[in-house]
Amino acid sequence: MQLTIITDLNKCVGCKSCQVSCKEHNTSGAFGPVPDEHPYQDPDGMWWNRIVTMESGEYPNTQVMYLPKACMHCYDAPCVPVCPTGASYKRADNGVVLVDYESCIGCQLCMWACPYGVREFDEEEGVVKKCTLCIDRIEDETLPEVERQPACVQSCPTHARTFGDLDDPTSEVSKLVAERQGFGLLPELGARPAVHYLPRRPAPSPVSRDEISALLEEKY
Amino acid sequence: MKPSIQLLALTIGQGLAVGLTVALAYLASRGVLTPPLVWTFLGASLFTAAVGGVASFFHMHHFSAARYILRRLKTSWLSREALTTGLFGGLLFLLALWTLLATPSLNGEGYGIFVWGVAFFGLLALFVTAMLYATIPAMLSWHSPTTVLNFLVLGLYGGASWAIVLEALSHRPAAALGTIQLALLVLVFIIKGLQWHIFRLARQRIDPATGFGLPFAPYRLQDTGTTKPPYRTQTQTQPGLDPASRVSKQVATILFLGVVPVIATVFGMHAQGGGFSLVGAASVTVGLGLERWLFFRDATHSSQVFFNDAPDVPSRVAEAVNTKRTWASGRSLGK
Amino acid sequence: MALKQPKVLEEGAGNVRRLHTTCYMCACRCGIEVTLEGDRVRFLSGIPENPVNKGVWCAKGGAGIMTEYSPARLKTPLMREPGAPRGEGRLVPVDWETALSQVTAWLKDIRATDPRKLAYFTGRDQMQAFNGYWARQFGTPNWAAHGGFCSVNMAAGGMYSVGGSFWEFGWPDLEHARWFMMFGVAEDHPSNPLKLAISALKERGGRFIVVNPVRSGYGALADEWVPIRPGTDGAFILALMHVLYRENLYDKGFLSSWTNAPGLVIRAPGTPRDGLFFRTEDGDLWVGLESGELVPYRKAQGQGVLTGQFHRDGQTLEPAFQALVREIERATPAWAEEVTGIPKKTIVRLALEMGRVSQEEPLVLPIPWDDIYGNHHAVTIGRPVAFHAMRGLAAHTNGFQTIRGLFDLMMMLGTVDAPGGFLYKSPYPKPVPPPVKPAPNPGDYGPNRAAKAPLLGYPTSPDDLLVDGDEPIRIDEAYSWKYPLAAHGTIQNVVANAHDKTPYAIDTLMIYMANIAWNSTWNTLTTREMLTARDEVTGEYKIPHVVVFDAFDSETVAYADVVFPDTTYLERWDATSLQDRPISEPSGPADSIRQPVVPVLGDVRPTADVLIELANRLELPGFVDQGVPRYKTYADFIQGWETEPGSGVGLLMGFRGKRGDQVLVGEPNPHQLEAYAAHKAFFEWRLPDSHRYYRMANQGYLDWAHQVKFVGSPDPITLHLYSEPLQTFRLAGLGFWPGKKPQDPALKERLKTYFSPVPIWYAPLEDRPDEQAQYPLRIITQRPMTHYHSWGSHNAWLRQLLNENPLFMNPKKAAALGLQEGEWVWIESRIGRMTGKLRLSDAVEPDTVWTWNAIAKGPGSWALDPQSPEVQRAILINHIIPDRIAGGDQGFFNNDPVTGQAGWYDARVKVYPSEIHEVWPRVDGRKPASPPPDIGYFAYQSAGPERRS
Repeated sequence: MQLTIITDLNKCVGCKSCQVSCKEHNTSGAFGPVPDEHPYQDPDGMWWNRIVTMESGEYPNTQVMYLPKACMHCYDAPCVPVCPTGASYKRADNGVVLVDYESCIGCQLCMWACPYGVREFDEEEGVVKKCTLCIDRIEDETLPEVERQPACVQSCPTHARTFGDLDDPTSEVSKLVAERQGFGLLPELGARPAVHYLPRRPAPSPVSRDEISALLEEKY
Repeated sequence: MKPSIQLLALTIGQGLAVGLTVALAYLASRGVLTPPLVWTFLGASLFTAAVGGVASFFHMHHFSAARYILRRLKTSWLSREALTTGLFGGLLFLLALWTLLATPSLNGEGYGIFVWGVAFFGLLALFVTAMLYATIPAMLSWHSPTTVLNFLVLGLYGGASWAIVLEALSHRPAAALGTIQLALLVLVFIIKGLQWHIFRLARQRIDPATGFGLPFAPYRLQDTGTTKPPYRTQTQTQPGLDPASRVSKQVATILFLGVVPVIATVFGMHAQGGGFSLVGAASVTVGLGLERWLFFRDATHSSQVFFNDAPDVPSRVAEAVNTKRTWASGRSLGK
Repeated sequence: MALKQPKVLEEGAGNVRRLHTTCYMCACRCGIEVTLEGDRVRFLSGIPENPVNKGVWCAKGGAGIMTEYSPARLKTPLMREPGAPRGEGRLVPVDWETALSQVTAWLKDIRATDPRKLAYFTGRDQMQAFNGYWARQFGTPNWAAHGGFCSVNMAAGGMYSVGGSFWEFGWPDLEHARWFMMFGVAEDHPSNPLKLAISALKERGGRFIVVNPVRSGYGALADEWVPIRPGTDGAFILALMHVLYRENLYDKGFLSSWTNAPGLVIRAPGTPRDGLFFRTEDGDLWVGLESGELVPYRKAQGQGVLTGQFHRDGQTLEPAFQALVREIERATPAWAEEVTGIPKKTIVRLALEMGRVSQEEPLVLPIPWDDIYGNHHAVTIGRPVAFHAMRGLAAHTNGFQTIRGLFDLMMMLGTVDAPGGFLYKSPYPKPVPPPVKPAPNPGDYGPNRAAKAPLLGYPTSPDDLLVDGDEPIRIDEAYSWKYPLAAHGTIQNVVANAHDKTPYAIDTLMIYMANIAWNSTWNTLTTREMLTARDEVTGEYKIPHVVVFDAFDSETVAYADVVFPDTTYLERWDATSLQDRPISEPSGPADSIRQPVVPVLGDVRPTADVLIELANRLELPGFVDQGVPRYKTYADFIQGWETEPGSGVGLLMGFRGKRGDQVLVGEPNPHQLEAYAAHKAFFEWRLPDSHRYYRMANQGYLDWAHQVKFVGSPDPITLHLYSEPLQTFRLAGLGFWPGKKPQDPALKERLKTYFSPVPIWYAPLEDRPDEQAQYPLRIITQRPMTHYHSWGSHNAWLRQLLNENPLFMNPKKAAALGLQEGEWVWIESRIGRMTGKLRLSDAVEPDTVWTWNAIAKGPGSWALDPQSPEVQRAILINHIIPDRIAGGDQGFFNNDPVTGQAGWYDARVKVYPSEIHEVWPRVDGRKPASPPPDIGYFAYQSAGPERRS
């Protein structure tokens, strides 16, 4: 079993709901707090999920894209073998990559090893923290069903995020990845991320260029 | 990325300690050891090793977990580093203890074997430390055998440079150390050239096509996740140097690491005392600092594609875009 | 008709509880579940059953935790330190009795002499029904919310066209649309509902076109970005109609059956009847048939023709549609290309796309319905082309006519209340325009009595204006000749007019959650000076008393003489009401409540409770019966108040009647709020499918709507393709109107020019040749999704997401101006200049520069450190947005001449290198109500910091 989150970039509007709901749940959760350095001065907080905004292409053919980026829960997570104490580990039963704060020495080597820059350092506790896939929610059987998924998936206002088991070919996430050409980030680095993204699906104009040219010629 | 003092001290200190130990072993093989010479060497090695050791200790932030550090010898080069560097330091200490308490015959076979043994473990520690850096695929600039060669050769070169000084201080004839140093210097420059080339290639591997899956040029980050990217705690995402700053530091590295020591050596041939060799060794040490600072500061991490497109400035929203970087990305993709 | 019954959630174990309420982090009013750990908020999340947000929540919603525990919260009533000048924030805590008796004394005096001397203006408050009632009972005409500065053009443009509008009043049906065009609205209005809708469209592979000078937010997902020069959308829309007309891609049946397009208009230039409808004795329109015969509209049953000329009683008559045709025939795509910057090829193509999808690929839903003519329709035909727009169209001085154009375009396509198009939200549609009017005569507002009518409404002729000759009755000049259809008032005029004593001096300015001294104003620095200006003779403040109601230490608080500290939304009873701006969905009416879920922090009281206390002390009619107060608190008011005594219609529609078993109409229920609280804090009524579409002409729906008092009669609602009310104002401008008419030539000219009964496009008033040459760029803002409408942008989590803002410029324009990435520049408008840091972006049209809205903060406010990025590095373009129109006539604000909407998207600037490399201008620091707490590590944990030991 490999739990994962699939984000449909065809639906993500970059609202950062997932970024905040992550902090909202986790700062008071089992793996919290998620620190905020000087929250009422020049703030510099930790975020386990950051939405990157990128524009590409030249005007007027500009594309704007939002990329929610949290732990990719890689199959070959590069952060795990580098850890000298075993604090960084991948759960055998569900593939979630976690940090055991008790045995983390705070060397931050895993932050270098992570290709995606999603691990962040808590200076006060001296340990590395990151997305837990809300493991404290998904395994808490006292919670209502709707909450037994990562907070970012539950909150997403465009339903761009889907949670599930990528190893189960019948799961929704597997089907989405298969049918919609899901891709992982930085594949060349070989981490085999479990988190996938679905590409844009443009709906082209139903009116052909030739027809318009002819019409313009004739009438406009 | 952002260099940390601890890592600079750790790697330079370890390199010099190993270099000096190897030089000591070499001198032992040549049978030219005297007690003052051995003690200056051992003192210097112990000092640099201690610098490295203390630095590595304070590189940790959560000390209570330190007891688990050897848990992952099977996979973690850092775990192995703790072991090998620990062994080296321990053996070095034993060597000193033996030298002090047992007063062994310094040019005897037993002593030579032991010193070589310590040197071997030193080289092993140096290799393991270098492998720690070289085996991180995400550190695009370091993920190369040159990283290992660089650490080894610079350790030996630094050791040799100081060995000459120590040798001069103890008024012993030069045991071809100068020649060895010059040979090492040639190697240093070959490796540095190669490494800087690899750093340049690494910068060009920052590619929005695989980072975002949206392959149009130019690309521009308008928000790195929050207004303020996490440079303060995520040292690896610190933006790279701007080209002018990089070149000036490379030139300085070449000057201190190579040019000044060579001139010092040339002058030193015709002069008495260790003055010139001291200048040379000091210059090499400064050069090592510069070289190691550049090694960290100029390293490109794969996650830079998400965090910065700006040179040498924390890329707040309002900060400048690196047109060169976008151009490079565009070029690699075609338009 | 099924009542949807949400189930009650069981309370969790231990000290974890879950309560339900309604979010207030912006104006969307999503349903939220608050999970509490003891008394502290553990988690805020969406309520899945809630019709607004269907279980999702946004960044602001989640960050509500940090708004609740914000250090900027006001904790006690405050009064200006004796002798201290206004604006410096030198306020001292006082007890409630002191503050209340002080303000009561002022108000009592005003009410006994001249109630107009109270001006009460509110920000994005969500109890306008209550506030409006309070002000009306006080007797002042001077009340409004912030609509004049926000989006009154959108509301009025829709109300005067279709009896509904976008957002609270109507909505694109993206569950069915196949083609969707969005004007502006990059990141906001509304938040979660629009995200859900866009998601539904994308899920089905619908085509999404965004027309916006900037590509961001929702626009990022568009299949096609149509960059447009700001303020030219009207020209684009007219050109689209031009092509649709010429290509015969419009819905004649729709126009003839449900709109006044076939109605015969009198063509008699130079006479008082010119441009008015030729009407039957009972007021119906006459229409012409193919045969040449004239019949009343109702009788024609949609057979009225749209072309030709008719004669009757010596008058020339023509279908109203022809007036539109004349206007759109001039609007060729080539002309529009010049104006908008959009290639004519694109315009023609988009017109063909929308025309074909709507006319040639209709949607057929198996839903039978009966129309107003007695015809039974076996199926419901949909036109799967939808539109959405908000301030991108509205916040221009030509916004009203542009929005009229958009609604006329929708009528031509037949997409009004058709599946896949624009759908009304209950209680809309209302008659066009809704039949509510403010009392128009000076004598309607007098000492010690209530105003005769609701204070805001929809004039239908010059006789409805609040004028005394040419003189406005209201302090904000709403409903005057200057801004006749100011349906939301014009808050942006208030401070300047009060300062200038134009049309008269006021005594007390009450402000509720509107940041008029900072980001909810324009020409900010001057506005701040006006608030502190003193009379040269007496030395007293020109605005003698300023009373501020707010929960947070905003920039405006520093200017208050008395501050009443409000609670947060998690600490009080509150209602979102059908009488206000409802949360309904197209599927049926809905409303919701807020309940106190956490203990009140500090000695604060809900503003509505304070207003009721003031009303009781002032013995306002409606609040006090023969000396006995009716309501102690707002909760009493929510449950007890009725629109008219015995009407059975109150603020909330669910659980009415003594037993709580009546819906929509019923006696007040003293346990109504508890019933809501037990039902996840909302109530939703689903319309049966046969009542869901074509509601302006759906007899079954109209009968029901009449029954539940949404409309005054079950008569059909004819849509106004042609606006006769506007023509009456034009006639007044021409001097032909028999009733009220202006004398001042400038006023007459405005009525003549801008009150076209069919949509027109004219350049924004800022675009005179002088300004165009000198200030070649348009400057606009976008509202970040993480901050929009969020008066908690000082929120510890949200402020990390965005706390400074550069000026974005197209790289080609920057190159042409010789400007570099990252350079500090001057941004100069005709009223002043400011600095900003340049950031290049290919996602902006070259003639536009933009930045994020309302990021900057004044030093000392919001409990932020004065070294915060919001103070040190963020820019506020309100400083340089002109408040008066160009050309020296200072009598007019920079408002839409029809509705008085502030034209803040019209500002023009030039940009050039700055020698100052920091933010400029800066304002002086003020004394904070409480200083920023020195927190080093983390902002909040529900179990408190002790948890970490």
